[in-house]
Amino acid sequence: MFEGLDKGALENVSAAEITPTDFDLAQKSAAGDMGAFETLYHRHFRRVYALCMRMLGNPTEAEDLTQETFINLHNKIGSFRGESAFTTWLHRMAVNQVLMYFRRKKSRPEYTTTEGETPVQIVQGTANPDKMPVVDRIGLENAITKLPPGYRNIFVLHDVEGYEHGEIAEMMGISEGTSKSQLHKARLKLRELIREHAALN
Amino acid sequence: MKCEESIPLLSDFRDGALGNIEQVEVRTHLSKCPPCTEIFSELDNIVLTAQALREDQKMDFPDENLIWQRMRLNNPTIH
Repeated sequence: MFEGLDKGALENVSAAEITPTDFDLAQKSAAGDMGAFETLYHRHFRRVYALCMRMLGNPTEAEDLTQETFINLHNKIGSFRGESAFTTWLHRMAVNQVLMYFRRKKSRPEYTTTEGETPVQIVQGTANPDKMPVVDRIGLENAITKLPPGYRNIFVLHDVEGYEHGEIAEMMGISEGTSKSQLHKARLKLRELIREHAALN
Repeated sequence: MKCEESIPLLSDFRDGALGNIEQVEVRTHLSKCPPCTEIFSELDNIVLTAQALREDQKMDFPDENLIWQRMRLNNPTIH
């Protein structure tokens, strides 16, 4: 039956049989297979939670929005046609869920006007590389949680999640120019926060 | 180009989003200005660290089984 196939190819065949694709699982979920939906949930939980956590800045809200995202996924999974990668589709859904949550909270982040913006102080460099604070993963994660929500959303979507300014502008209902200028201010604010933290320690 | 003109352009410069002329002007300014170069290096480090976070699975994650159970309890459609 497997004449002409080498051992590696056979292993690939069996791996594909054992590991269903996201699209397979989505189709089964849409047909009511709860086991398939649970597999999708466990496969994508961490990336969705990490996205929510970074955008929201606190674990309680991140858990709630992760849950809302998967409930929404369950309700809409029949509309996934496989034109884009499942991960891309799900992440867009999570981002929209979080942005809707911010709108519901009416916590108008600073990206809509220039008034009331958190001023970014440009801390001049010392031109001494030895004094440059080290940007490590944990330090950056902490600093992200201290950003105002408007800056945080754009920074997380662009620099962490890799969305383009055009996509961010569309999702947030702002112009590309605003997205770019807010990203720059977010990075400067992070630099200020990281320097403050380094000075305290 | 002066420092106060260069600093607002550093992110676009880093992301390759400036026009050719501005790109050259910022690069020329950085080659002569250690303080702006330091700001640029720090912003670049922030972006590189942020990009590495995307695939990073070292965050403190909650118990996903508990959240799954709670989700099913709260939503009769997921049964």
